[in-house]
Amino acid sequence: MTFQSRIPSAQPMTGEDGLVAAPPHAPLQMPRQTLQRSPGSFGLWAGSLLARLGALLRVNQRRAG
Amino acid sequence: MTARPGSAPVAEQRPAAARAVALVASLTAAIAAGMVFLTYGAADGVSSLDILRSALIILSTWWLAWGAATALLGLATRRAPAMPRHSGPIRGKTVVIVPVYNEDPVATFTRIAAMDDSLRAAGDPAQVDFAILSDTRDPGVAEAETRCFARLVAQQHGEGRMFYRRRSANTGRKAGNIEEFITTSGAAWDYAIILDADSLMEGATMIEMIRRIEADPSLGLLQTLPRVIRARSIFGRAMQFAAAFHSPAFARGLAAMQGRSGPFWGHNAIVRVRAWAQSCGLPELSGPPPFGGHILSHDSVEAVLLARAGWTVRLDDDLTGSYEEGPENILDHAKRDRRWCQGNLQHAKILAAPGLLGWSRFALFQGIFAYLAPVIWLVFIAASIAAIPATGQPDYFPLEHWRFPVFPNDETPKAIGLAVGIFGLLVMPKLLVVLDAIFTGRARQFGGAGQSLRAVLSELALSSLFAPVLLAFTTRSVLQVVSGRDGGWPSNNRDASGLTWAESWRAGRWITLCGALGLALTHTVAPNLTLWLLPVTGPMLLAPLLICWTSRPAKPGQFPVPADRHRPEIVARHDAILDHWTRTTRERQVA
Repeated sequence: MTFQSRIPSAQPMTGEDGLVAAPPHAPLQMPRQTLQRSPGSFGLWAGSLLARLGALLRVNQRRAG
Repeated sequence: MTARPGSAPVAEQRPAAARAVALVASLTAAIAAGMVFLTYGAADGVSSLDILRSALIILSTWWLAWGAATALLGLATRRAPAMPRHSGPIRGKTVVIVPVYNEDPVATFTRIAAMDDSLRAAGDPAQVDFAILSDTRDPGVAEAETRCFARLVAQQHGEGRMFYRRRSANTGRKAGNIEEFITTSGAAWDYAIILDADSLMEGATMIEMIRRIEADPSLGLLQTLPRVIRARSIFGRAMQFAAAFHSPAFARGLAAMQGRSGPFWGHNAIVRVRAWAQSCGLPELSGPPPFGGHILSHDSVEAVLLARAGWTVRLDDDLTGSYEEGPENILDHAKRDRRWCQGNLQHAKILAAPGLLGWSRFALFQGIFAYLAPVIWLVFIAASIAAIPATGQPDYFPLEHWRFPVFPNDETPKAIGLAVGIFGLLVMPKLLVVLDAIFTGRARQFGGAGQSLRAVLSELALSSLFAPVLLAFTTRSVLQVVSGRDGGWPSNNRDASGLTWAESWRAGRWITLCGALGLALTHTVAPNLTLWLLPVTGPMLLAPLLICWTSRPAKPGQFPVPADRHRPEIVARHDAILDHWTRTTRERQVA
């Protein structure tokens, strides 16, 4: 296999113990992901669902009335 | 997502129909089993215990039926059409990431040498670098790692394309290890092949993975199906055989349903580095371990996060040349399972994460349910024992002025039918895989039809024997996690030799005790059930013996796999390099 030319930034760097080639410095941002709903968001969701149901019921009652 | 990829031509192969078929079939089987059980229990009047047991039967049957449906789907779905691959020169740069944590350095670094040689032999120009990311805590092992790395670089002429670094603090464990690498060095590469310390991949397979990810700009992660290699013990060989013989059907079924939210098993996969960086920054979960803190089973979460960000996560079950090693005895299996148990149960906290695809949530739910199912079985058994004294004797003279006995309806056929049905769900997929292997000629790789069938039946018998022991370990793990005990992060023991009797006794005596108590309780409270429960209590009584015996070397030819007949090229390469390194190291030590 013919390896293509190495990446320019991949110069061997001194590792923690001074002996080894550490990976090149080429940073990339990794934003923290949201995995949990914030406390109370279930309450908010349930509240909005109830509000919607209530509104729906009121509309139906008006139609029926 | 900011860099939303283009169209997703491959993975979106109408998985909705496959999912619907599997879900409807498994739910129908579960509800039918629950109804049959309820009519059986209702023969003498419906009690609350009957309702509880019916509910438990529905849940556990659904889980069995879901597995059976996945296998049947895999058997019914022929090999997927060839995936699109980029056929021109490969433009992207790839890094092979090997996270290590107190692993055997000689074994790990010789694997890298073998894969590097295999890449050269593949004869396809591509830039593929290697990065060994050490989280090793043991200073002696760490020192050996740096020595092995120096030897690796010298031997493979790896200057500028082989890297090593060790973290001073292993924050975030394996996921944190990879994250630190991506945030420090990730921009230098387009793709990363993530391996485990015991992974081996053919160079041609790695090149094919690069070509496939390069061909599909929407593909964020491509998972292969690793084959277990190098098993020596009875337990290891049985697991290796089951994985080689049955897993392809299950994997194909899984692939048929995956859509663009396929699985990630943590290794033997390629990822698009920018997609990973953009989507997979894992937060710490609120609260203390085991449910809070670092995410332990990070792979499943990373897969669902990639899918949430719009990337495709795909399992290509047609990719061969991907290998891993497995536990050699029940104790190592249980130790690994303890970690997976905690990791999967922890996912309960993120089931409701905002924006996840429905199928991703279902995948997380499956992971949780896999650990709840054995507990459900155990509760069902306990409820069945408790139901006997509650039932009492039947009333043969229910009518006041009628002097002849009235016999209750005989519901035995229903009970037997239900037991046969449930047993069928367990066994039928495996037997169908045998038939498929015989008719397609795949059985020849396993020594022919007769030998395949013998091996399948032996594996069935053996797994039935150690299933109650594994059930006990899983139940203990679940109880430990639920009661708030953190299992920590023990390193894998991949080279365990046979266990001694004393080790097996120490590790398994509590299972013997539980089995004896269960047997005594059943004999006292519900003697009619004693014989029925022997398949569970018997192996529990013999747990230390089973643990010890199954850790012994298997007989030659027992549980044959294709790798016995044709040793994979990469394995042969690794064996040769490992032998050379080990020999020369010994010679140096002697000198």
